[in-house]
Amino acid sequence: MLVVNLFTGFVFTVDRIKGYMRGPGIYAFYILAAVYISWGIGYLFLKRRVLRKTHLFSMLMMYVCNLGAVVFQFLFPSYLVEMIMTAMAELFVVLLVLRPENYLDYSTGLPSFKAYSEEIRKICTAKAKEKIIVMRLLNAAQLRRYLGEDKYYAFIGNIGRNIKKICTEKGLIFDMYFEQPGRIYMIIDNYDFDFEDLLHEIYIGLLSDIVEVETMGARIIPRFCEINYPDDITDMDTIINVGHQFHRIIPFDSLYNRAGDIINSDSFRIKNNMDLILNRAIREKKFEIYYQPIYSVKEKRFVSAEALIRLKDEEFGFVSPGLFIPAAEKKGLMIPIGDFVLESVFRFISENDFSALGLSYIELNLSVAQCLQGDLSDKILALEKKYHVNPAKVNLEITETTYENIGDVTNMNIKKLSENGFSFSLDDYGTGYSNMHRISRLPLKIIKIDKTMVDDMESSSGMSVMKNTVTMMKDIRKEIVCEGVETEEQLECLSGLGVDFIRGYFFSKPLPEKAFIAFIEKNNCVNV
Amino acid sequence: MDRIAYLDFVAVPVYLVILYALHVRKMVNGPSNRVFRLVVITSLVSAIADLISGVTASNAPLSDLRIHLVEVSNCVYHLFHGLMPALYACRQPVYRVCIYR
Repeated sequence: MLVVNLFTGFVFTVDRIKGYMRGPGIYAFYILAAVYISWGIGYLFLKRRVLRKTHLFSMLMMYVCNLGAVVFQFLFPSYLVEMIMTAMAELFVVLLVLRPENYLDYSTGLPSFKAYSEEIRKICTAKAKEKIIVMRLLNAAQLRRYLGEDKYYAFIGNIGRNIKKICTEKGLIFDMYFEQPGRIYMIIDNYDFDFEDLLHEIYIGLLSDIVEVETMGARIIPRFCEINYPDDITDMDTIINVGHQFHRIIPFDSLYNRAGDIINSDSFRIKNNMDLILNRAIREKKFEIYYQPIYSVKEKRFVSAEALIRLKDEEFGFVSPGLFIPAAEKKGLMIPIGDFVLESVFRFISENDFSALGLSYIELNLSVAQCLQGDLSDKILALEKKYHVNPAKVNLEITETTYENIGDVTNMNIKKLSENGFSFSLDDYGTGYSNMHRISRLPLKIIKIDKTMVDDMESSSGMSVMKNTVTMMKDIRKEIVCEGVETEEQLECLSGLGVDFIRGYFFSKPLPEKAFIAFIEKNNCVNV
Repeated sequence: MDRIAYLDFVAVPVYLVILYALHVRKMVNGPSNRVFRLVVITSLVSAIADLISGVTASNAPLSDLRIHLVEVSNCVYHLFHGLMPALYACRQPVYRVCIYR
């Protein structure tokens, strides 16, 4: 119409005197614009759940502003308000919708994980077919420390550019996202493209990127995972979880992995459903306390036990504490779980005749979250009264991390509980940055030497470390428990070094209450 | 008419600021950002064309050159302005109403 207008004046004419004048065809433009706008608003309404409220509002504003301005200008042609209104509407979008500070990782310049998860949410809501590739650098955190932040992020930026170049050359339509410390996500529109074919080229690209890094003695360990939505996975949470967990589930040397294989593994199913498992366990009290006997070298019998929490889910079976405890810490569920452990142990002590069994005390772990509680000591003292338990029968374990991070609150709790007759031990000695100075200052009765140190005794240096550790502990009058003892050689060796107590599979695995009592009755040769 | 043409004068720098902001804030990658940038450019072109047309046609009588200029600038204005709602609409289904891609 515009081309023909030069000859017909159907849309508009320009008069030497009157200037610009509308022709009858101008209404076709208005009708066409109205159709587009109606269709746009209709679609926006249909997909309103895909957008956040501010986004929906600002996009609607674009239509409303334009529509209002067009109507106004149609009625009052001398007022040219349309362009300024459109500009305002677009400015509105820039200010309200485009928030790069929320969606960009400024260290690499790539869109952030938040942008990725937002995009996955939209893909799942719109049920659009997409291929998602996750690249995880297994040693990203170490590389960042080793190279320094500037060099590391420049390196990641190079990797991103190289992958982008290779994929663009192959005609892929994709977007790339980065999550700290070393995950790159790609959302690829070419659903049927076999990304594994590109792996060789990408890997060569990675190698050229790392020349400088490798000259510094570092190496990179990338792992890939391909997720096809909706064929492999149909919900957003699982897509996000696969991206986060796949490298923990695959065999270490498996470079390229497919989500279809990962999501069927037991380990992933448990990790992916951890929220459900934990909430169900807390709600239905599915946790159980097991007791692992502790042997006294001096008395040659079992004198105590460590209380260990276990979880058996009705759907997923036995869930390792190594999986559910970190998840519970992350979700802030350690307080109810810790309360359950405290209550169970106090009840267990009150229900059994420890003197007849030859048991002195039960050791139980306090989590970091529990030690943060200002009222922890009050809770324990209340349990002591409720179950009429002698405080000497309870030994509370803290880890070095707990003590380092909490300071004053822990000190207050330890002081109050110590004054009331509870004893403390330091767990996992040898796994952190323990030093004798700190240990000597803590009101600790027992030091528990970690299994890794016991295992290291096979080497001569490991043996020297153990020997001197034991000597030093004895000098500052601490009792020593060695954990994770599995062989008779280890037992004999540790007994020879002067270790007081031994715990490990050599004697028994952790046992449920009844089995533990039966074990103690049998092995301590007592008749209750 | 002269007084009112200044509104177009205001619109042009606003569009330029928006384009600058998109570039500086790195909101230029991804289909949706690209379409949004296209919308802004289209708006900018039509605002400039509208401005040229308004200023040129403001003082009658018009010379032949000014008549042609008004005709061409109006053609550009209508063309680009007509594209805008089409871009708004196509942006949504094609790019799944996504903002950040």
